[in-house]
Amino acid sequence: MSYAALFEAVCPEFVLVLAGLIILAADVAILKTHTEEVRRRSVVLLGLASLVLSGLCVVMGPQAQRLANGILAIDPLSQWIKGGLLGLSGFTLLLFLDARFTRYVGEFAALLLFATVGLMLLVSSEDFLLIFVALELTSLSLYTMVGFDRASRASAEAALKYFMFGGVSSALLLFGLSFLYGATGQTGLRPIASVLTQVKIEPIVYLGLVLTLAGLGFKIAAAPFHFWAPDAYYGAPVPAAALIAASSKVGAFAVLAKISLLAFAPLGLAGTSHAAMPAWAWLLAAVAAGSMIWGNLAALVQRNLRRLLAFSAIGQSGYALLGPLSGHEAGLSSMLFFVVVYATSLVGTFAIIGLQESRSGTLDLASLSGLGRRNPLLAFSLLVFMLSLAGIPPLGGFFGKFYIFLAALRSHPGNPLMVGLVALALAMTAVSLYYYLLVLKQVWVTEETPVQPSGDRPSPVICVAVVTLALFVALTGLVPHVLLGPLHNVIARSGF
Amino acid sequence: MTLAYTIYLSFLGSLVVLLMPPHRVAWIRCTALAAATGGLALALMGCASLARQGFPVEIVNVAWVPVLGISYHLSADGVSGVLVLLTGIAAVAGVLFSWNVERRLNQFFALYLSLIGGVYGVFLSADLFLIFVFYEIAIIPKYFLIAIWGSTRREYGAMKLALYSFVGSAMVLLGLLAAYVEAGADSFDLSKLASHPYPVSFQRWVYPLVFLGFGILAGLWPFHTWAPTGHVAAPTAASMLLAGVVMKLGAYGCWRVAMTLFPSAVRNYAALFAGMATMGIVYGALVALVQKDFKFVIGYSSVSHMGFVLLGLMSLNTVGLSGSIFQMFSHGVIAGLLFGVVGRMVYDRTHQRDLEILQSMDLHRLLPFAATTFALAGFASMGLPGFSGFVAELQILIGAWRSYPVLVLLSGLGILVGAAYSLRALQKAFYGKAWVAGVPHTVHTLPPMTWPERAGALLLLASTVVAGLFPGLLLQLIEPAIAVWLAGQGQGGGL
Amino acid sequence: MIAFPHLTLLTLTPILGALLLLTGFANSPRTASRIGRFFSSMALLQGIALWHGFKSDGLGMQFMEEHRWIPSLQVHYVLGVDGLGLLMVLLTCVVVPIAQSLATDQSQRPALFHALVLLLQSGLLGVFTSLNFFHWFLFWELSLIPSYFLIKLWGGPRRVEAATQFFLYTLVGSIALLLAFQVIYLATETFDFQVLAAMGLSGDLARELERMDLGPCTGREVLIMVFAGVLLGFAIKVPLIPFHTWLPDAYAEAPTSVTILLTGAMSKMGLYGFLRILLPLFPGAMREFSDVLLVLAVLTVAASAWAAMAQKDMKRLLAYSSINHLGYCLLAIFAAAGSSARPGAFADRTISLTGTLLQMFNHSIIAAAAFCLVGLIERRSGGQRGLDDFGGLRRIAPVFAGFMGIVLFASMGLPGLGGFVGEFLIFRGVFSLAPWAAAIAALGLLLTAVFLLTFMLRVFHGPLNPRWAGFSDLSRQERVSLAPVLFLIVLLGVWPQTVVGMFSATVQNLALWFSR
Repeated sequence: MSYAALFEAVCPEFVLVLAGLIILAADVAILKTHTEEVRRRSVVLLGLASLVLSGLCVVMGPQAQRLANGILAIDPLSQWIKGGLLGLSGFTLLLFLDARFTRYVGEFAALLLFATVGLMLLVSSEDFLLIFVALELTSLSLYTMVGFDRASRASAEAALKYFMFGGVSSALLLFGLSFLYGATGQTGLRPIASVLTQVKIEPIVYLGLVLTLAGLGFKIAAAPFHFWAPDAYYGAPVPAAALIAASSKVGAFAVLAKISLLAFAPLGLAGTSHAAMPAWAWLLAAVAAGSMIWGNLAALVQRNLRRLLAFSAIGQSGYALLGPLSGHEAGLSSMLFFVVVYATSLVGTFAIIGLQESRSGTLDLASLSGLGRRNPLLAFSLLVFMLSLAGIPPLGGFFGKFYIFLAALRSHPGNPLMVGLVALALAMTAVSLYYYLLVLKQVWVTEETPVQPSGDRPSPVICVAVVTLALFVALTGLVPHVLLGPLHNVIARSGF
Repeated sequence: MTLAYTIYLSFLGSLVVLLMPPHRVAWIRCTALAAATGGLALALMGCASLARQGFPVEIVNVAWVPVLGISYHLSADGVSGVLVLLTGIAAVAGVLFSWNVERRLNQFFALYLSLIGGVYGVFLSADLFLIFVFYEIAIIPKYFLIAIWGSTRREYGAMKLALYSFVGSAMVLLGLLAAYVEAGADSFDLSKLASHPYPVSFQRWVYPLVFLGFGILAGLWPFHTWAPTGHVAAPTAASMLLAGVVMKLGAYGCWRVAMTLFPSAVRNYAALFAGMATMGIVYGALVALVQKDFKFVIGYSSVSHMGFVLLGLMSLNTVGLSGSIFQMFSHGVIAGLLFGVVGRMVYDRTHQRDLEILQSMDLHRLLPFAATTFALAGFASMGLPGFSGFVAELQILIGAWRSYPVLVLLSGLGILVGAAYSLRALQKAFYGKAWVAGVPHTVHTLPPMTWPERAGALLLLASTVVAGLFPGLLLQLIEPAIAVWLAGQGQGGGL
Repeated sequence: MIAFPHLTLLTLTPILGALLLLTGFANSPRTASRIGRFFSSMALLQGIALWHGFKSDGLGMQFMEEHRWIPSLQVHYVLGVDGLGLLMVLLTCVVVPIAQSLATDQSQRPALFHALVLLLQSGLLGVFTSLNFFHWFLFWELSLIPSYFLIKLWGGPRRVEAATQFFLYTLVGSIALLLAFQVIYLATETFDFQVLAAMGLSGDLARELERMDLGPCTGREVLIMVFAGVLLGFAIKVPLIPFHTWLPDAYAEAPTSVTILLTGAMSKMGLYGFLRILLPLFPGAMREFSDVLLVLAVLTVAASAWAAMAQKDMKRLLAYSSINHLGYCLLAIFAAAGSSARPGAFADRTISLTGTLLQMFNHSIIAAAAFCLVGLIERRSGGQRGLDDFGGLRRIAPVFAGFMGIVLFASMGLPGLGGFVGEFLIFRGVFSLAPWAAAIAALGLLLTAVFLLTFMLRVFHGPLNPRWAGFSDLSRQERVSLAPVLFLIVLLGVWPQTVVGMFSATVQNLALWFSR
């Protein structure tokens, strides 16, 4: 393996790391004398430029390469996901333009870029070691970003909770990985799989698997590993929350799918159409069901939009978990479609939340009232996002849910577990419509109470970003092929 | 091809209206009326060409998501044509009856027209995914129409309606997916899925799931409770559409999807669903008889009339099924008329719906046009000959006699109670103190009847009378389609 | 098939008048009433023209019109009249002007009032000329609506309850009819009365019905059920005890001109239904149940007469009297339908049925006249119409008393006046066919005489009640409008051949039917 090849392979990530360092330096050295506004804008601009550059590297770089025995494994699918991650992070960075919670703009932007790097490495790896390192990189960046608002108690509390939960889950993950290594002697995903096919599967493997899933479950905020989520969504500054909700989710699900498809294949779940399912699948199913139920039911009683989003995110994770349960390519593509559209909706929603918060300070649902009249464009975009999350056609979220349910039923026809899960998912979707409509009710139905402070006009850049995201969500619903076609393509070419 | 333009015209109209500034009231109203009338004209032309050239007619069939076998597939047969015509009539009447709405008018008509567009889409779709998409598209405009412009307990009513509809469609989705997977998971085309022979055990659980899912929206007893609340809370135009057209979506889905896909299960469950339908007829009528709120009377009467539709569907013969579709048309028009009178003519002027209070107002003197219209609508609703309801009920009962004679007798009871509550409502609301000299009236003048109200009422009245006196016009479209359907049912499946 | 649509035109004429009135041009009482009377006289003229063109010895329907309407349901637009139909048409055309003459000064919404009257006339004419169930039923129901509104809007203090009771009660019968005919359609695939009558005669209808299997009912039960349904529909309309409870209230609360219509024309709808539909379609069932039905008819005659004696309200008294007179018709019909293979039975049946038809015609005119006069009393007394409120009116209003006397005596059945011939023929026929029924019903005659004479005495004889010292006699106009009616009553009493000739062939046909 030559360093040239390695460099080519990690060029996108390298660009981001470099950019992060440059931003740090620039902020400290050059921009010190300028106003915060100017610094913020330049930092964001630099970050965006680097993200674009990185994207170019992704597109033009190698599309299929395996290095160091699979530690770094680049295939069309991973490149595609990386492109998506970059896009989401770019929009998330844009949110930073309007946020005034810190004067350490350079540090924050750099952390965002580093987190993105972690996610990108996460999806390019087929070895547990690098997966763990990348996960830690992302998590550490996120912990810090969550606590970045020094003026807010909630932010500190959120960061602390997130860190503690995260630490525990990392420990669990490592523990699980070590068991797997002990059982198979390998850390690579594919080698593990090949060992498992040949050797008799001992109970310790299952233990390792369960612990691994627990660790990853934290990342995707699945019940019962979700307790950090409401506070994190509530207390974190807007860009950090958006990153957790969007990019981080995408990355985490991608890696979960990869692990279950590659490493755990011999255990009889992915890629097969057995009518009967292995016992450990019941575990995953239980997690999925638990997330759906807990997330949606808890969201019903929330009066704060951020907490509502957090619990709904937990519920949505439950739906998305049907993807790995389905296995093989339909499950993978449906899950990715679903998660990408979902992430887009959430970035847009957080953008609007950010704008609202800078206007009125709090984010009770009631403060949204009258948005329909004040800013119809934003309100309409929020309508698109909420309805997409609820699963109303002809928006992307609907098709995502539809496709995931379809893949689930198709993969194991007649299996009562799958049918039961899909039925539960549909029921919970109906429940979720209630609270999404509550949000929309505030925005469109309730008339504004006259005693609202007027606040400044929202930043036009962010408005454009929001509308773009809304259009994307609508487009993927009207013409799903736009997203689905390339997705199927890359999955096929990656050999899944 | 003309029929498909109804969909596009409605959505286009919705978009155009949405972009208009809210204070340009006249423009908005005229645009909305133009869109609705255009849809009606297209529907009439489409029906005429269907009658001339026969059906089914393929309108468009384009691959949408080829990976999953989903295509944008529209086609029309006689039944779709009749129901599209109904939608056109109801749409125009609704716009006319909403002429007095002032608040956020562009959003109102935008939502209204997109609802209409979704309904047109359901009636013309021949791909299950597409039917489902249009079906769900209709839910959100309903919510906002009721929540923003409604009256009593509007937010509660809107949410209840949206959730009930959504639960119903969730049930349908599950059934659809199961059927799709069972049939080999390669196409969502209705005729392909219908021709697949599903195992009997499979049909036994999927059919009731899908039927009940659609049945919720059709007001099948005992899942009908959203209907009276929702209709009462909704503004007039929305009530007209809800009771008149949207409930028919549910019944249409029951027939076009559930009964078409799973023929052997249909027979197994026919008696049960026929019984539930009859319960709806009788229960709806009895409850309507004791209502204090004028609009609730009409709301429950809708439940009762939809019971007839469902009973007709369960008769499984040409006469009964034709009667069921005919009743969909008939009740759609009549319900529109009833809600138009109650909501627009009476409530918007007097802000009263309590029958006891209305009784003291002597409305026949102040609103003679409304009194006459309601009287005629009431008679039509009772099933008096000369109006469309009679032909429909005649056919349904003839069809049902063979299989469910006891239920027919109960339905006869329902007709009688129907006459009773109609008369009671008529009497209390309009003829409270028919010119007893010397008794002081509580209200002396009310705003006069406007031309849009008259036009809307006349349109609906004309529709029900023409359909009642010349039912052949509609039956020539309905009966061949039903005959083809029944023939297809004989084999393991089919349209 | 005659090319010129006489019957359609006849039925449409009053509707045209109603539409004209509803457009709102004629808002004054005089104009409205004039338009109303114009159109009803047009209808009368057409009726007379039909009579002129009618072939009295022809069997089967004349002036027939036939068009396809809803082929898939075997619904066709078929009109035609035979002797019975023509009689009913003429009856309607005569009674309506009488009713209108009482309403010339109707000042409350006169246009609507007269329009409703004309619509009612249309409905009646339609019922009497339709030969396919679909539009027969349309007109049958159509007649309900104007009468409902006429009672409800212009009636007495308890008009709302009376109108609603009337409507719902009749609707029950209509629904029974509807359901029964649906079963008939299922069995025979036709709604045409003539076809069904032929099937009923040959026994095919009974066989088809018995072949049907309707869940819990099979075979003969279906036949009985259908028969009962149709019977119920007409029994409520006539009425037959115990389905009569709607009548006294409706008659009493309706404005008197409407009562004239109710008793003169609408009650005949039920009898027409018996003769046109029930009898031809179910001869076997009629024969089987004729005894039960005879009992009910006798009960009707006797009980209504008994009840009339106790009435203090003039209109209620006459209402019960109407039930009584219609009971004679029913008596004759049921007797004729009974099984009797005696050699003279055919002649007896003919006689009974002739009497029935005559009685129908006569009763209409007599009752119309009677109510008209009561209406005139009301007009003069400001609404009072208790028997005990008046007295000795003969002295100050002799012409009035004279007119009233003729009418009441005709109602009693005095020979020389219209009522006699009909009743006589009925009793003659029934006595041969079912002597016991005739004997008991004769009691009714006696009681009728009692209460009618009481009426006469209380109101017109005896000491003059000082309140009514200003009671005016019949004005010229009133005399002029009533004179033709009285003339008709006398004419029919002296020379019944006038009308009998019209329907003798039809009656013979009917009687033949029962003899099979």
